[in-house]
Amino acid sequence: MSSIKDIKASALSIIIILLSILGCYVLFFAGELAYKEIFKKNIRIEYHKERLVSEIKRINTIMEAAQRTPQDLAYILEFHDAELAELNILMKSVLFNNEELFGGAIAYEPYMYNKDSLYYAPYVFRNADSIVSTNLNNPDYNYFYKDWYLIPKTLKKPVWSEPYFDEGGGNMLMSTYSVPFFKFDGNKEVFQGIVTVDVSIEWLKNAVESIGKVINGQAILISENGTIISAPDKNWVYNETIFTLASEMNLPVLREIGRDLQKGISGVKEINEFRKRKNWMAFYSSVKVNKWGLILLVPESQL
Amino acid sequence: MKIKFPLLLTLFLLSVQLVYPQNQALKKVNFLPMWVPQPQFAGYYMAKEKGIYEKYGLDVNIISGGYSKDVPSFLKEGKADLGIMYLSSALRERSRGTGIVNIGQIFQRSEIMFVAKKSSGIKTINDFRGKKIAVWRTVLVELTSGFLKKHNISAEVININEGVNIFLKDAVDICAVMYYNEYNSLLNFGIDPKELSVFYFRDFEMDFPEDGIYCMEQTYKNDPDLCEKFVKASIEGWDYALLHTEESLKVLGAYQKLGIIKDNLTHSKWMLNSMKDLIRPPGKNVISGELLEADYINTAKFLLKNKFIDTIPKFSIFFRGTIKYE
Repeated sequence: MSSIKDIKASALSIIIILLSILGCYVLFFAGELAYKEIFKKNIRIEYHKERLVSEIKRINTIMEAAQRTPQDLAYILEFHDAELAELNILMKSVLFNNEELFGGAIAYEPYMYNKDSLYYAPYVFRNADSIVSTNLNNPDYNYFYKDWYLIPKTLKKPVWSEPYFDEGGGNMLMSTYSVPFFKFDGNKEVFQGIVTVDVSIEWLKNAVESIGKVINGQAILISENGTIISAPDKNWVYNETIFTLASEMNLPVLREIGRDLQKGISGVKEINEFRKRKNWMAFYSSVKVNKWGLILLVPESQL
Repeated sequence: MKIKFPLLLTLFLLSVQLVYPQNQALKKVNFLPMWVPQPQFAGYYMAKEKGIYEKYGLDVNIISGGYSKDVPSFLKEGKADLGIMYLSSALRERSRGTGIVNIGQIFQRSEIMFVAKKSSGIKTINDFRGKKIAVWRTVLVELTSGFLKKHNISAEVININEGVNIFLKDAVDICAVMYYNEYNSLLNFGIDPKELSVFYFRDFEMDFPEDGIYCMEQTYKNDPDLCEKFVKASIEGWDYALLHTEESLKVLGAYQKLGIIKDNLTHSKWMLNSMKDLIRPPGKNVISGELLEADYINTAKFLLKNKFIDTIPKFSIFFRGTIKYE
């Protein structure tokens, strides 16, 4: 009898040991799988963070290149009185060599360029395949009160404008970089006018849209005030800000992202039930030169 | 008792017939609101859209406004028959010799305010001294400079066309805004209300009514009936717009798209919802279309004191509206 009991006990022990080994094995593999997933997710997150950094650098480079020309021109005009023909040639050559630029102007203070002209602002812009010149001297346009003129004049420093529709000027959605220029009259610097370049919102939109395709997600570019410049939903462009979307969709996290970007803070945040009712991971950072913000949206399911 | 739809339709058609017989030609009216299509003018757009003007025998063409379309100039030059102006601007214009009259007062209180960022250290109006203040160059000049004079504040006023970008870029410290419009734009550009110091003009004994309907005195004399019908139809348009906000916002959205004007539903909803209290302020005994003599005198005295006008025109000459609170 005792030997049967011993056999049963031994068998039970063996089963328990085998089950324990199996349990450990399962736990080990499950853990390894989970670890691998976390590891992979972290790699994907790091990839998107790096991608964001490189895209921000790319946009920064584009904007810096756009800034250089009016800065150089403003510097020249502080020491040299240019004739109209020369101004036009200068501006045309700027557009000819910079495909990202739509137009450019040299806008003078009242009667500053010419004693008979209240308004004097030679403007060149792209029209179909050519570059044409005009003068923004229509009293109805009255450029002295345009943001692109008045804000840099008041601040006495270069400024990127918020996106706007330039009715009576370029007649398209654009953002303008404006540089004030001055002349020294022996005692003090006297404000002369503003040199500008325009970047079309359509051009920026196309430049950012491609990022979304590369990351299998979506990319949103916003201005300093949060106005949407590029987004997967074309109706958002110019009409919405990240803050109105936050309010309309009841997603306070969008407002937090917008506020972070205005302060130059980068980060990663989850946005649930956003575009196409999916859960997304948002990677965001601001563009150094003009405080615009880029947000890369990646579906959670892909991380 | 249930009223059948065909019966309602018949009654409606009958009322249309009673108000304006179909065999008469519609009278053409060119109407210029002071700004681009937005809920501030929802009542007029809905009166046109819903056939209310037509019901009153009017064929109204609404001209899209803007800073390059000065209402008094358009009225003087005959480019517009009727237009919207603030009471203060209209009084000043009349003092300059433009023979305009008010035929209906729509907004009954003031929504103008100054805003400043608390971070700039501005907490009271005494902190305005020596600061830069952005003010629309078209319609707010009298009121804002009067406000500064009244409080003996010396500040640099920067005249602007519109908007709040100059304030957001910190080119100015203070900005004059309308509560129903630019104040909300600031929130939509990421500013939190707690970050702003706000100064409502109405809290400084400057609760002057704003949007009213104006025309040249001669236009009124030539056809007082047309003026009366326009005001009545516009008030009906406002009643409709405030009752059917979603539909009104859609209609305005379509007009905004035509002019490539920002079409933002969140902001438009805010603006339209703000209109109710402007047109019928709670606790104020006034009906739509009426200009209260007390409000008129109050506004005119302020302008006279600050030398924006030389004399106060007789109320009965300035206000030709037929709608009165009994």
